[in-house]
Amino acid sequence: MAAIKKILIRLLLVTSPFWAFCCYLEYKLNGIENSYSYKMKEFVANEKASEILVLGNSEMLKGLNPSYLTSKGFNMAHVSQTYSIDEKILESYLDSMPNLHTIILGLSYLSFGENLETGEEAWRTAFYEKHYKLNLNQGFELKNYAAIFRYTPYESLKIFLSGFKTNLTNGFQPNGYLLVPANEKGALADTNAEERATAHTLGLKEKNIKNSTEALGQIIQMLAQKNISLWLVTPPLMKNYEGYLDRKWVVENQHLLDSIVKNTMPRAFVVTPETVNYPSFSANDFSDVNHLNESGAQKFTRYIDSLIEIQVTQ
Amino acid sequence: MLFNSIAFVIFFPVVIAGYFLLPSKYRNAFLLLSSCYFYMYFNPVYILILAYTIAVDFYAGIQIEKNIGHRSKQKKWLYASLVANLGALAFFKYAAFILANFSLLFHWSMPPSNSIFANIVLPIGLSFHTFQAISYTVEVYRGKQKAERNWLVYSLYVMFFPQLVAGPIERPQKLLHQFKEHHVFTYDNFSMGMKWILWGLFKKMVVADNLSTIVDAVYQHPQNYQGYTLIIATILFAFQIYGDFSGYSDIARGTARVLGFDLIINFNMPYFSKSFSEFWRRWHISLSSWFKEYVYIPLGGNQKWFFRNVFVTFALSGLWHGANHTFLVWGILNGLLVFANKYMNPWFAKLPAILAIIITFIGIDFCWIFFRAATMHDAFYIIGNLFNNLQLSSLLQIPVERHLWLISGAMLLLMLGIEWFVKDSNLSDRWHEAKPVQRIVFLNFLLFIILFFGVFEHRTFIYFQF
Repeated sequence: MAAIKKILIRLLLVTSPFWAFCCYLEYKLNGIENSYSYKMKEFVANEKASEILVLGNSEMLKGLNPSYLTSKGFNMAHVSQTYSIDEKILESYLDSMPNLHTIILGLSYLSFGENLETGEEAWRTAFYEKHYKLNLNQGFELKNYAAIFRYTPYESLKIFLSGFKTNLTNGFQPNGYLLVPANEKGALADTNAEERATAHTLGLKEKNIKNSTEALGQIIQMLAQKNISLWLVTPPLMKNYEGYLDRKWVVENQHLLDSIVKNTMPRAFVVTPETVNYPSFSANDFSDVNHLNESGAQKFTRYIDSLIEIQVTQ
Repeated sequence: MLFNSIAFVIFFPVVIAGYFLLPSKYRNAFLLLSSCYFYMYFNPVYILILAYTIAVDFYAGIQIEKNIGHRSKQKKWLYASLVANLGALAFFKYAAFILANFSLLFHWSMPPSNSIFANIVLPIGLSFHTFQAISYTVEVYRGKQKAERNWLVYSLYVMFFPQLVAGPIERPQKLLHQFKEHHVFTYDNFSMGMKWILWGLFKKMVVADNLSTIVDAVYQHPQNYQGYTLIIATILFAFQIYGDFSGYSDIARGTARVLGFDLIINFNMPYFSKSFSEFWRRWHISLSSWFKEYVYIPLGGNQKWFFRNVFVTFALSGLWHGANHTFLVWGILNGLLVFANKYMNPWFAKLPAILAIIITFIGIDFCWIFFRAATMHDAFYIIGNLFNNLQLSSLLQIPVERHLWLISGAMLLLMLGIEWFVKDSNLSDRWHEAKPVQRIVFLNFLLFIILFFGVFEHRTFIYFQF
């Protein structure tokens, strides 16, 4: 025991510079505002008053600006956020939103075949666990307990070298919406459309369908019990991007949607370019091939708002 | 269980504490249980294969010793052991390969995709523990090793977790007796063991895993690249596999050392070799010496039929690495280099050391193309396009982030620099020669590098597949 004690003390002393640096870094990283902590902070400030909640992935995050809704709304969508995450958010926060009457949920090419927890963007799960307090059953993962691993050690070092002046909430608005002013050069190009569509298709897996459909089913059931309307909406896409999507998945998505939504809930509304006539969107409305920019989001939100208002007045 | 995983970070201290806190008589049982858990963490069912070969070899060893003076009976038990070990290896590792080759040669129809042959999963580390088990029965047969009568000790000889899945492949004379000794927890063992582990983690997580991102990007789609891209990826693979495998061996050695055990040094700065035969005395030493003792020398060594002996030894070594034509060609090419070396030695000796090192590296690295390429077609494409379209700008086409080039290059130089600094002595000696401040700075620097530049995706070790 004496030998073990001696070793532990020496080990700690000898490596103390390293541990001191890690502790300092961990402390400072925990103080940094990121998009998840920022959104949650704003959500908590708005949850009591919110009447409409927006959920979904980056297409909804950048495509629906609650400022243009007649009712008070909050955008809780985020990059690569899948139905299973949406479901857990609702499970955790629905009861704290007494005035909520409508959920606007994204319906995209990626909705059924993607799974955040196992896909390329799985690193985001730790931010949901930490800031949204969601239990995603990820098992023991260092990133759930240490900010250095949450941001990844290399990125943490970069943040340290920048003097902790990294802005991780750039463009995020107090209503949760991510404002993208215009499109960058080449973002709408055909090559980019093909690249993104191919990458998105590669991320779709048949095995994820069960999880996604079950989560959507749960969402529908949860909202029906609370008499909350569900609007499943598809933000517009650039035609070149649409052209590169895998038809098999497009058809499968439609089939899945039909089987889940039809006859399951009287207050579910599906808004896609196939079901209603969208206003026309030009290249100036997009930030890239599958995301709207500020002006596109304004146009799209107003259009969705008009549909909701008609329904509310009826 | 991977050495570079959280599971091992929890497992190892538990084993250290359990092993040293238990009375001596229970320690081997505890170590065996720990080894079983370590192995079963990968795939629990395959522990049965280990149990089967251990039972056969343990019994065969006793029978061989019992029948001293009856060479034919001894031979029968030796063959029984060889058949049991090599049979398991043949079934799990080579069945699909052999069937595929027969079907190609004789136009047989391949077994359907749902047949047992098409779905065999190679038990992890099978080639390693099979060879270690064979060395035991052969040594008992040769009379150089007494048969082990304690099944617990023999089981540990095969299953000792630090070297169970990827070696080093130990000889019974070196390892068996260590399980009968009383090991005391000492500061020196712990300190040196942890340094080996740390150095191994640096080689694996920082050097090999960062390089693998670049190498994999090229070798997974070699047809997309030409010229410098293929050359650089091939050079980097040489260092990736070195960092990966020697890193594993260092961790294995360090882990064993903390527990008081001594394992063989498996790598001795092979890329500083000045000839091909020297390279094979410095690379994967435990396997090279195994083939030398049990294949090359019994065939006649360099006394007669030198070419045949070298050719057979290296061809088998290639096949040991994998059931694929690429590994076979890799082995044969290395055999040809070693054969040529014998006649080029006087010429090599006259060369400046640095030139001899570079020529040796080029030859060895050329062979690595076959080792890394997924198919023979890929390997020939790479060779055919190594000098096509030589433009440095093509390197930027590799789909990896640019900072990765910088990190990989810097860490590779750091690894080679330290190894060069340590050469002709060992890490332990150099460590003790350094001033306390230098040690503290180096240790913290290494921890810093591993944390911030290491890859934490729990990538498996290349040699696990063998």
